[in-house]
Amino acid sequence: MDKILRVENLQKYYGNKGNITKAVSSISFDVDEGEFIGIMGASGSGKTTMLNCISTIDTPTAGRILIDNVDVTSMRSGELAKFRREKLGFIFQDFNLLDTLTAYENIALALTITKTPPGEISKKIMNVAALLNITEVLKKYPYQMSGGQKQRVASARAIITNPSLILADEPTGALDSKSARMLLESFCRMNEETKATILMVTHNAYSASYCKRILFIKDGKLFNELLRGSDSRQQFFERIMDVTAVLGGDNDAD
Amino acid sequence: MLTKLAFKNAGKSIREYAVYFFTLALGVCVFYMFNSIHAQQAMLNLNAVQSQYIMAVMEVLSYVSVFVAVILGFLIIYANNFFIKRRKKELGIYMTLGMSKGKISAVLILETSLVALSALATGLFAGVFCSQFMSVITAKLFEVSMSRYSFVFAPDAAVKTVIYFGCVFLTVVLFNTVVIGRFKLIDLIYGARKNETLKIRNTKLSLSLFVISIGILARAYYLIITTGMLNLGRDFTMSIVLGTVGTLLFFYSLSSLVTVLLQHNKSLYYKDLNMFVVRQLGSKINTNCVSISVVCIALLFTIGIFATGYSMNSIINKEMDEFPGFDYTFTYYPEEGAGEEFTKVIPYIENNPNITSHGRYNIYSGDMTFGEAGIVLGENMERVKYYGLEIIPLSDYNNILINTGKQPIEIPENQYVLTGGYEVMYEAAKATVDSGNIIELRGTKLAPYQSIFDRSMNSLMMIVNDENMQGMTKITSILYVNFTDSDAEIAFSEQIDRDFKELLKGNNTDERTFNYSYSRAEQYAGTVASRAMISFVCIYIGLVFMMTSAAVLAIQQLSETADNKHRYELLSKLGADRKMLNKALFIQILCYFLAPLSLAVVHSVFGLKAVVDTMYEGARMNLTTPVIITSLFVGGLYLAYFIMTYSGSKAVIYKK
Repeated sequence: MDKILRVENLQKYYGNKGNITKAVSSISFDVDEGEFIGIMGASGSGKTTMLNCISTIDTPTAGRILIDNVDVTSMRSGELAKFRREKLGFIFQDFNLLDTLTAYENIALALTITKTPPGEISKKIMNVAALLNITEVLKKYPYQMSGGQKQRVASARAIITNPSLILADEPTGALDSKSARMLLESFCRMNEETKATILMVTHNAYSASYCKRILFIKDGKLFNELLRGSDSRQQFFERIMDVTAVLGGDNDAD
Repeated sequence: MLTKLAFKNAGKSIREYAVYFFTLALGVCVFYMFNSIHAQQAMLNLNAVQSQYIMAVMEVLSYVSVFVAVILGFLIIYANNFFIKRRKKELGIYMTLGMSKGKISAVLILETSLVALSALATGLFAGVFCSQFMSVITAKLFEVSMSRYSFVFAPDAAVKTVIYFGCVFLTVVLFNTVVIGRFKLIDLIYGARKNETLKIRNTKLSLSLFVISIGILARAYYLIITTGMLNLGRDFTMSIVLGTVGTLLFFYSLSSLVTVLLQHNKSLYYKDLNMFVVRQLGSKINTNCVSISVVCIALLFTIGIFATGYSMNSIINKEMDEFPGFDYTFTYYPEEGAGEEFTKVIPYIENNPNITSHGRYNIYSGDMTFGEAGIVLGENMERVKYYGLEIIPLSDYNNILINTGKQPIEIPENQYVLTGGYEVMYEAAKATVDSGNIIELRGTKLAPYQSIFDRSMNSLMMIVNDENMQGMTKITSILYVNFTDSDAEIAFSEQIDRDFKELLKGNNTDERTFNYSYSRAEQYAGTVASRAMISFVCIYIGLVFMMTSAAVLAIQQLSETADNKHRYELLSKLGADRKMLNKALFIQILCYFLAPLSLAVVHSVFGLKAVVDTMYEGARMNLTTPVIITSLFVGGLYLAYFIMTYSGSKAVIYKK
């Protein structure tokens, strides 16, 4: 199977001589096409820094990041914008929808940025909306929607351009447990039905239990890796809890 | 510590302050320039009359300065209020850290004064520099030569500037303290979360509101065009009120309408970031419809002031080119005093060797109005119908012609001649004569003979043979004098002014044996001075209006961009490149600047038409050149503000 993402010896240091903070000291891993992978770690473990490097928002100090066999660390900013809109999809903790636009328009925005012909937009949005159960809120503005609906609209925006990789940063962080469950189920459907590759950063064990594979990060290094295999979601959840108990920090189970 | 905080804050927000700073400095600069005109006299070769007029111009400008200071004061308070609002959270953090409201005020006062003081210094410096060029303009306007060049600094103007702006800043400081005193911590901390509520209005409602606004504006235009500018009655007021309401409604409903229209054009709406731009603009224009309307009306004033000021100027220029009349004129109204005519001034004329010619003529009342006489009047000359017809006997008129070196004329029995003093009146005279209009004077029917263009006559005069003048009332006597050269004229004028000094005060008509007198030089200097006055006042007020409105737009746009920084960051994460973002920003700011300007231009088309119609009497106003000059000027300054806003916004977005 093709490797969608290869992270090779990624390092990211902050500060200057004599006062260096190693946010990411050395991390390597691969993500296959169609994977749903979770990254777990306590606050300050370096997971957000790593995500920023992968999403080309930040540049690493050393190491390589290959997405679709292209090294993103050596790209210039003009290429990066193009790369981002074609290869990546983003889902944020605080949704980041534009509140002046309706749900439909928010999703359409991702398409217009990739210069999709206007005639194809409507059909694409309807398909994604059906997949994510948001057809009835398409005409609403963000302030008229619940948190869960907003996050599913944001997910629709991320997936509609058929990106190689969807990056989700704490997507359930601002949701109640019911909305979180619905969102995670949507992720699973996106993953299974459209073969979308999802990389989700979370510190919530329940959210992580929907993934197929989980990487644990501690102090800027890979600490452990869990594969779901043929486990039920409940069994997988318990194994995650065991690891987080060893890992310590502020991981919670709710 | 407080000082450090204030310095850091002022430095940090330098980008947002840039436009504000520029406007303040420009305001101070303009203020100083127009208040230091009197100091430039040192460089100019002025005679007594001219320096008197310069003082008069200065006096008018000093009144205008008060008005200008008030306008700039409003701008400063507005901008300041805006900055405070945007910093609520920061102020809230200071308060949670235990800083007292007094100390917060102190920090803000320090910050404001830092910006204000540096703007004042920069503005004064620029003002002193620019006023050196101003003296060239002053010299040209007053038609005097510059005796020598010297660097001019007017300490009194500088002090005045400092005092005026000091007062304005004091008001701002007071205002700030009151505003901060009323802050509640909870509002400060959560202030940022209170978003402007999005008003999603019914499409049909906005559409009908838009149609209504167009209707109201059309009615306002109709009223202003039919009533003109001078008739300040109910219709005029109505048209101003309707115009204002219409403008407000227009901007209130505009955004929804444009959004709906564009949404139907899918290939345009769903292209690049257009959707984002349209929505962003829509919500901004909607929430700020009041200030945009104010800006629109201020721009209308600017355009109006520049264009009419300039064309009045060119009318005066034209008048001066063909400067009519006699070297010196005494006027007497027999109706008012029963005394003797000109007896006291006759000795001055008879004993003066430098007089080439002198004479008298009398004007009689025709006892009828232009309308009753059947004078054919041009378009929009309704009011002239009620002017009284004035008549000069042919013998008097021929005397004038002989004294000015022209051939006397003859009028056949029972016929009349009409003279026009300027274009419009000459056309009326010509049309009347061509129409064969019979005028009945004291029972005698007179037929038209000829029309003459004669600039030594005012308005429209009727000339008839002396036989037809029986029993008419004399209303004006005029004694005119011509000299060998202008030195003799000035000497004579000064002699009269000196000898009649006491008698010229008040209404001693009978004792001085004339009502008033003037020399050609005085008249000329007066015309020159009124031209200078109009130019100065128009440029001054126009500049300030222009600056203020552009600054309001710029400050709103810049803070809007700063508020929406996260949105642009999101767009960038979604893969929009710089080119796309710049384009979106450009279109947005352009539309925001163009919306009030476009409506102001439409307004001014109708407003200027009304002005032109009102001014028929002076001369035909030619608006082509003034419109070009105005648009260059308004456009140039507006463009400068646009560029500042655009580059400032880019800096805000891309700042790490």
